[in-house]
Amino acid sequence: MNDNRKNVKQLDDALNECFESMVKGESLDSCLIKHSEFSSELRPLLETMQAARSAGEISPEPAFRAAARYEFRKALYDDTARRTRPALSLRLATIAASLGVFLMTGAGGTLAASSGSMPGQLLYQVKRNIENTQLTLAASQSDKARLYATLADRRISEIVYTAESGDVLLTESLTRDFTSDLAMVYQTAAVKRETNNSGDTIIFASSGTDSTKGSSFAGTDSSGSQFVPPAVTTTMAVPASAPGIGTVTSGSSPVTMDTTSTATAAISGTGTPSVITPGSIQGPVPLDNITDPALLKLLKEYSIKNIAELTAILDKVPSSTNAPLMAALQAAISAYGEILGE
Amino acid sequence: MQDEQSLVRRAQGRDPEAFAELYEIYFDKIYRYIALKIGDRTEAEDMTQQVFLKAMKSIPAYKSTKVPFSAWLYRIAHNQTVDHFRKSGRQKSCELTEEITPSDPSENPERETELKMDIENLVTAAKKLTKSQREVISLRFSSDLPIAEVARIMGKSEGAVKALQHSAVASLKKIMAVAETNER
Repeated sequence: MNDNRKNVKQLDDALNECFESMVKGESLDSCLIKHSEFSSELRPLLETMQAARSAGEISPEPAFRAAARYEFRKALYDDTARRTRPALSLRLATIAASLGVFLMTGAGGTLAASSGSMPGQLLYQVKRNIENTQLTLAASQSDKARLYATLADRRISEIVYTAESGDVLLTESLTRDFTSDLAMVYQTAAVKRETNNSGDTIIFASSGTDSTKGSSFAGTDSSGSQFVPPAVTTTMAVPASAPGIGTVTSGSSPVTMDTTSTATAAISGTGTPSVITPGSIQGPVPLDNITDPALLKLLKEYSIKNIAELTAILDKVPSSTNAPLMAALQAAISAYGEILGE
Repeated sequence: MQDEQSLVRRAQGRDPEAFAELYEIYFDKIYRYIALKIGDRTEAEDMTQQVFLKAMKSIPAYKSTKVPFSAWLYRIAHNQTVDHFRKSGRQKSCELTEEITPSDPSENPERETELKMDIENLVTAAKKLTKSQREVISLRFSSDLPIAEVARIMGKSEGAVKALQHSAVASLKKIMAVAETNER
């Protein structure tokens, strides 16, 4: 390699090295000191690169971004439904029986088609029925909590759709559904561990009332736009002997449980003791926590995404849905904040 | 945020939320890459969406052992722009030659015009670069892709990409200087 070519190659390398350092935050002058032999050649080139890089920091229009995001998510869910259809058909008999509305022939296609449907569209109710069936069939409380979280996320996508369409009633109704779904995440997954006076561990898995579309949740106010995690105030008298069956009032529904060696337990709130060992505990119990790290992570991701989705369309919706959209945004901020303890 | 490999694996397993997250991570970067290459922001928006729809359909075929996910995605975006240019038939309308001399070391930097660049004149200037120069500029400035990844996407050696980067920036500087002089 002759000197000139070698020189050019070294300059190529120095330029690249300086640019990468500057991307990481190093100053131009500091880079030039390291390559002082090329300083005069490098400076104008690096200034050009800096200017071009800054100029190139563009983003799509927010309105397009929001619409594109919505369309893409819809395509994702449609695609997933289409590709998972064979698996779905294996459970079709169960689903169809639960729904009680479909003929077996062609139902798979209808189910798949419904997955991307939006409120007001023909297949939307099918989609909601499927969701309820999925909740019924959830294999574990953990699966159920994750499903509720996913449904809450789905409601936000629908709120974006209805708010952009100017549909006030549907936007408000979906906001109520959203807070209800998030409340059910909490109710299904929240766990409280307490040690009683005798040193025994009491574990509360807040899985009492499954309000799958029907029962009310204490955290949802009449407008449905506010989420308050259930305050668990517990007064318990648990004799150390006399095994028996305890009755717990959880939300509006009494739940019967096997307390192994417990006579009675009365809980005002939503916590349902799943394991109680002999002993007693009295007084208020602090708010429960969700401890499943995977669920917390999912909720965190959804909270960021959902709040961003709602914020992105704030000034893009018809004036009629301004207020309901703002209420939905406040509900999302409040509900996720409470459930994540932020 | 989950690590990218895990998201890609989940997306390959048809987890829509995983792909939705990849979409969020890369959307703006791919948009910038396309906008710089084709010089039309509105069209770049639609093309960016097309890139992700194609990626969604092809992700089961993606093999992480061969190329990083980002390189694979940019390759789809690159192909999208090639299609665009082929359909519009205006790719070479204002290209300079491939061999543009890098800046003259004897040039006095004091005499250089101060650079004032916005996206419009960057796009205008980039249109005058060669195809390869423009590719390098778009990849490097859209998302600060490392040189090794740019080399993989372009199918060139790192040395060749560094040389292209140098000639591209030198050309860009000259084009910008001429444009500023003409404006005065």
